[in-house]
Amino acid sequence: MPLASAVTPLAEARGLEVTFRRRGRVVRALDGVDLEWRQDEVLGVVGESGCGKTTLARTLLGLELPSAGELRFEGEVLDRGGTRTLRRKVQMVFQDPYQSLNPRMRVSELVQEPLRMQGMPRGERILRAATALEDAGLAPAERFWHRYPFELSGGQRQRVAIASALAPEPAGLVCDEPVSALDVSVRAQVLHLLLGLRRARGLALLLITHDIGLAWSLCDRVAVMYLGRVVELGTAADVLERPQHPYTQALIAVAPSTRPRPGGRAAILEGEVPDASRLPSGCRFHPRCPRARERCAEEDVGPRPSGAAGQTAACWYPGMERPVRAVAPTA
Amino acid sequence: MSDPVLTVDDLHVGYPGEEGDIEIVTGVSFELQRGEALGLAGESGCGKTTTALAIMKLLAPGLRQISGTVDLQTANGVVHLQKRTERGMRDVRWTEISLVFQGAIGALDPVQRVSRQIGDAIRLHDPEADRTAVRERVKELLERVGISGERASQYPHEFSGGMRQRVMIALALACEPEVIIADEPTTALDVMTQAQVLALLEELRRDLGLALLLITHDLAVIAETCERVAVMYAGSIVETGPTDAVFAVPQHPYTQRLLGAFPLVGGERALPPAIPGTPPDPADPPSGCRFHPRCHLAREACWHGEMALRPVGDDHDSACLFAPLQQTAVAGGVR
Repeated sequence: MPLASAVTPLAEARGLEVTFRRRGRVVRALDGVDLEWRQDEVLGVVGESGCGKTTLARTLLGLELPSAGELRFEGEVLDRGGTRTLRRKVQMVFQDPYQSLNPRMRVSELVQEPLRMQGMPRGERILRAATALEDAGLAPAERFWHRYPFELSGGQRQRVAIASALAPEPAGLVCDEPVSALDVSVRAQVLHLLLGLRRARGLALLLITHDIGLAWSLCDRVAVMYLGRVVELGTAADVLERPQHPYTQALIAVAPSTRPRPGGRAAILEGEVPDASRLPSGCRFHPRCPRARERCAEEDVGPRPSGAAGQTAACWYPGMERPVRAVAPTA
Repeated sequence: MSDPVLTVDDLHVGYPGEEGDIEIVTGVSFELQRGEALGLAGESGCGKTTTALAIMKLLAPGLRQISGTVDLQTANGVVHLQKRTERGMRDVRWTEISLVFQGAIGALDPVQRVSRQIGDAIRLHDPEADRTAVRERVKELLERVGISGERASQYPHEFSGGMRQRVMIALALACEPEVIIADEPTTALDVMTQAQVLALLEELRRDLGLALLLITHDLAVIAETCERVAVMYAGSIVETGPTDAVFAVPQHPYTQRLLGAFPLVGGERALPPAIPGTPPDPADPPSGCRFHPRCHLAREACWHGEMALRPVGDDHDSACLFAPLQQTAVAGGVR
């Protein structure tokens, strides 16, 4: 396989399926996802809400069990019991630090909580927690130790959330829109912190975002999801500068830009992401696709090599129609 | 040609503190021209939403307008909103000036059919309207915002986020106002839906000649929608001008840094430099220029005095002492 790393990936999904039941119907939240999350890499997952990106994250955290397919962690296939390992080795940073931190716990308790759950003795726990706080940019740790979340700014709260995620010394950190609830001027501080941690601790990051500019500036590789599948995958530069799948192209074209837009507003896809319990026939994207032909409505399509080496797109007619302009993300 | 429908002059809003009023809007002035879209940009806590609520006289309890005037041009002459009583405001709210909130789920009544909610707004404007006329108008309004008229009898929860925001817009249009204030109208929406709603606002503005005051933290949304922009920091406007000029040659260090915070695909792949610190506490604002503790250009002169907006270009004003500024390179290239 081109571009495959020699090192075992941190996590690897093969044909991963996660289904839910809702009002008697099966919702296919993940419907055959093939994806590697490599050690040390920043992997971006982009797509609209309902595309399955959060379910993918929850599965990688061991919070959802796959109904079919295979999930490997550091090379080993995970069975039901294996999710315990996952829960320690992969930690999560949520979008909104105003909601993700228990308001009644002090910073010291918040950061020690995951370690306490593991049954770590108190002395060791305190040391670990203090290190994690300082690594998250809250130094000296004593200054923040006894504070409650309401006494902290949004940026500081997100740092506490990051410290709690770091405390168990995970190998991977899943960040679900880690800066979208933060003020623009504070965003960059938290992003610099995340990249610094990746370097210092060799952390792999999985960045879930709808923000194309952010994915482009932060990620090594990007996976674009639509209706429970990865529809395009490749390096951030390949996927976002030379997208092959019409959905990726549409996503990039509508991202608002602070730059003047030559030729006016881009074509906007009609309608919304269909309900995952009523999947369209053939290629899932065909009802909204500007390029759809007869075959697209009839035959389903999986990832196929397209564009640069290692880049794949799940499309019968991939390729670029015109060069993509520079875009800025939504904040 | 100047033909303002809404003129805000030296607006101050605050709440009582131990030593006098604590101001969260500290002297905001701007004009919204007929048919124009003006973007009011800034981070949370900068006073942009408070400015909007003060205009509508919908300030939260505890907050009050300390001074300043808000004048609305209507068919019956100028209305001084700051002098209106709550009763008097009812004559202009929705009929002359409407507000579209962030997160339409909270603004619509969950137990009332959409037709009923829009119908009530229509009757507010025209109490004589008979049922058939109202029903027709509801249908027309929904279709105007891209929703099938057949969905009028549904409840808000039956609509998706983007559709609910469209319902909100239909509601705001019900009494044919001249001015719409939209506060973060697309913030909770997905990119694709956001683009759809922004395109709708633009279309309505063009077709109906509406003036739009768009309040958002997202500079890119303003770039896509507004002819002019005003950037707020810590309660006042620090830069204002035509959107093209402000985004191409920003004349306040804060605007420069804000623009720099949005990486551009295809530019240099590096994270933008972080702005140190956090926005100030309104109870204890820094002296002089309120941005000076976080500013890379700050010198001693910035610590004292009032920073007034002054012209730096064609219809382009900045409150920075050092404007016009040299344009610095930021991630994504020189802006």
